[in-house]
Amino acid sequence: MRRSRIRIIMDILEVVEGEGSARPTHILYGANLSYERLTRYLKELEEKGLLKSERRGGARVYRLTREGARLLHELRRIEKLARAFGIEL
Amino acid sequence: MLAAVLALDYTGALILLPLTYYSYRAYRVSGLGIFFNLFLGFALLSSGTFCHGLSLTLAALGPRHALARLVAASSLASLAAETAAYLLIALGYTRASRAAAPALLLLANWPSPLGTLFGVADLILLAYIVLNALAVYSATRDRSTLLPLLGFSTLLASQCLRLAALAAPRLALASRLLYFLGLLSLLYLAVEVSREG
Repeated sequence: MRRSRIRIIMDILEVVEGEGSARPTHILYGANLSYERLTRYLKELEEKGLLKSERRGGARVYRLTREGARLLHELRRIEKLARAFGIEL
Repeated sequence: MLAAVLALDYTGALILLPLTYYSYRAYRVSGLGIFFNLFLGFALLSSGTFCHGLSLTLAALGPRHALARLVAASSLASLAAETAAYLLIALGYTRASRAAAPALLLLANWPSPLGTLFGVADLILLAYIVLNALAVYSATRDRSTLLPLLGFSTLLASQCLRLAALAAPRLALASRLLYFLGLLSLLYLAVEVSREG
């Protein structure tokens, strides 16, 4: 089944939250995305202030911003509401 | 009896507000139309419940001519809002699954063929919603999916009693009580949703 955009964003944010600071490769596997799609999503999430990237030991890592954590919290509520009514996100 | 029904109506209208809010937020964040259906459905159900209480309050104020019109208007608004609410929620499920003034009090409880028509429409829509909620629960066996099933089943039972109250007015209070219990299930769902995260 094809994942919705909101589901993909939630998957990315959850992987980053779980890792604390995550490398793109980890997010790629954790969120099950192609490199091209991941790059597009990461750029968008960073532009929206939901993720913050930095260089660490030559590699780029991503961290959740306060806004990103707030969105993830809200997305979990939405997921629960959706599940109660049989809605697939 | 009137005071009890009024308390149930006004509290019931408030009970629906958290779920209305969460559905609205879900729509704003996800952009999914199904959540808009739920938001509008719960908002209308809350308005309908409030209008039901309002029509009874106005009816209790006395059988004055000017009030009679207001009672009729708020009673009709209540019926229309509830039917529209159930229709929107049913559509949401479809998309997802694919005695102070006896005459006026009677007016507030469907004296007209139009009121009975709304009542029967609500019954059919609720039965459809319950079947969908049952299908969702059967597929997931999750506690969160049990709450809408319990809530809408109780609203359906309340609607049956509401129609029966046309012949036996004493059932009206039991109907409102069941309606209130149904709303409590939906409030519990809102509490569960708010706990997430």
